[in-house]
Amino acid sequence: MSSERTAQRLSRILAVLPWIISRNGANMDDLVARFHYKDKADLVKDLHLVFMTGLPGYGPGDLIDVDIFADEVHIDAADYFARPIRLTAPEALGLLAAGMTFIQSDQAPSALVSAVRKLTAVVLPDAESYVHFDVPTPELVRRLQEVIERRHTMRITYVALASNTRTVRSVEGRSVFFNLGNWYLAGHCHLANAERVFRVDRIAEVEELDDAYELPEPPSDAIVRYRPDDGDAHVTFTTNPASSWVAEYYPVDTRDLDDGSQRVTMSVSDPLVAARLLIGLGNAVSDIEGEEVVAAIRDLRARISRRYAPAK
Amino acid sequence: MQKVIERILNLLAFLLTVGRPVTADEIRHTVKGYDQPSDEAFRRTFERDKDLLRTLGVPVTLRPTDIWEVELGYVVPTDEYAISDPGFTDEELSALLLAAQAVRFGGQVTEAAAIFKLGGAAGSSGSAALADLGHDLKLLGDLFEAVSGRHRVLFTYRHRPRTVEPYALAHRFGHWYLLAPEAGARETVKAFRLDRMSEIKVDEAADTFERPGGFDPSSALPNLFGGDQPERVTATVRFDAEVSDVALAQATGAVVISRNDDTVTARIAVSSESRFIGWILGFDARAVIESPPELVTAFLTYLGGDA
Repeated sequence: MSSERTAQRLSRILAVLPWIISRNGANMDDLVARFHYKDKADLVKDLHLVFMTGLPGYGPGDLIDVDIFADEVHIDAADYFARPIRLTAPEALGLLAAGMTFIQSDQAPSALVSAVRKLTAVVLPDAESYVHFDVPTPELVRRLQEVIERRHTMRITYVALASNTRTVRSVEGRSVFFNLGNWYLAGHCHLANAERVFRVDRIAEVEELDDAYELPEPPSDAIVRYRPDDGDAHVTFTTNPASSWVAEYYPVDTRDLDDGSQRVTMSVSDPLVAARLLIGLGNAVSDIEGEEVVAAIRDLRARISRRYAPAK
Repeated sequence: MQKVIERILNLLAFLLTVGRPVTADEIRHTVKGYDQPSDEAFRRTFERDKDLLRTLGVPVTLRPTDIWEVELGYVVPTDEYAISDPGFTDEELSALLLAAQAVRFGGQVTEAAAIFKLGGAAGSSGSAALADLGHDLKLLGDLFEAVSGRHRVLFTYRHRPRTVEPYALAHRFGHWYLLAPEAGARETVKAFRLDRMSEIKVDEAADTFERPGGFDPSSALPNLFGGDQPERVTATVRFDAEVSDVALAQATGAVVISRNDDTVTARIAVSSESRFIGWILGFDARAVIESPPELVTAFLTYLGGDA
């Protein structure tokens, strides 16, 4: 048995016991639902195990007394387990961050607001001064969510990230989510006839249509993460120490050079996006190699320079 | 697994009720399940069980068994062991569970175990994600502990080893920051980006520094177009109509000064040249900086080549 599964099972037992003990008994169906057991038999297995444990002596008066009658469970002789274990640091941070993110994004039901207030009182009074979340949420996010909740197809005007061209497409929305500092809309795009992810701050217009659709089960969990692909272009460049974070951001391969700079090679799905990134780093990068990206940089330079040339 | 769990429950029951530090030897001879044949086998079993209890949040602590402090024993301080009952309603727990499932950390979710400790909540698993705040929950947890328990943190940042006194953890624009002054330079609270920190170590000693009361994390965080420049300048930018609406929605506080069928010209406050230039480049050749001349020159320098 893996120790992780042992830990999960033990941890759940140590949460179920206090719940039953502190309430002088509990209903089995409620326990199954509340603590995510598969079924009653699954719960009973854990209760039988508890029945075998207790205090040194391990006689009838020392063992934990578990009494299952009809659908009620009672536990005696285990008052030392009447209170649940404190949250670990990752648990406390995970819950606080989750709750505060919803509150920040203006989507928290009032029950969540009060839950977070009670939680901070327990784990860290004055939590706002210790942990801070900035999830600035444009109004459009709420609007998109409402359209998705009504399961209505939407027609969006989208300004593409790479080409900056506008397209109008109808989309069956799946979800709206926040990742790496940006909000995204994920959905089935009729124009592409495929699942697509759109950056919300690049959506210029939204129109709700009358067509309804069904959300697939389970909900798609589209999270934007770049995955290198065989067809990708490659670019290699040198970064100075102050901008070595670039390598941590988009890593493929790095080599440390003697003067503290790094030689970085990364693969890019769109040479133009890489060109913008590298120009934006100014003189922090040098010795750029990679045919497609170098060409994209040259073209981008020419395109922009033309617009700054004095009018003739 | 059954035997392991029984043994650990017996161990925890004993530690919670014995009321004094007990040696490993006493545990071996008192608690059911520690009848391993060899010293080595016992030691390995006991170490593993102790570690498992600690990962669940049980404070298994070493203390001297008597005032002469020659011998150390294990104890679980009951006041540190348990969570005081926060009195959640079922509705609150369900809301918290839903939030916990929808907010990810580099793909990870907060384990349902956290909600179980608070009383559990019925709910389906696998709700759609609302946000991924990035980074590793284990590391964030360690730093959260450092912040709340006032532990110093040691790490390497920009090729230099640092020792800091962490005041707060913050998340902004998709990045996590540790807000902390460096030890010995307490006037300046710096924002260290987690993904640029390496060889991170949290000092074991707690309460090692004073933290100013009422610290405001947002005061130490970088702004979108701000951060590395003391004076704000106002840029005038002409956007092509194709991108103007999204550009203006992104630039908070932008003021439109003129508009025609093809272009929109707006004033935008800038306090970080580099960030502003990176943003403008995102619009390719469809955004032109008109003034001030210094900013235009800086932009063309970034652009390089024969511009």
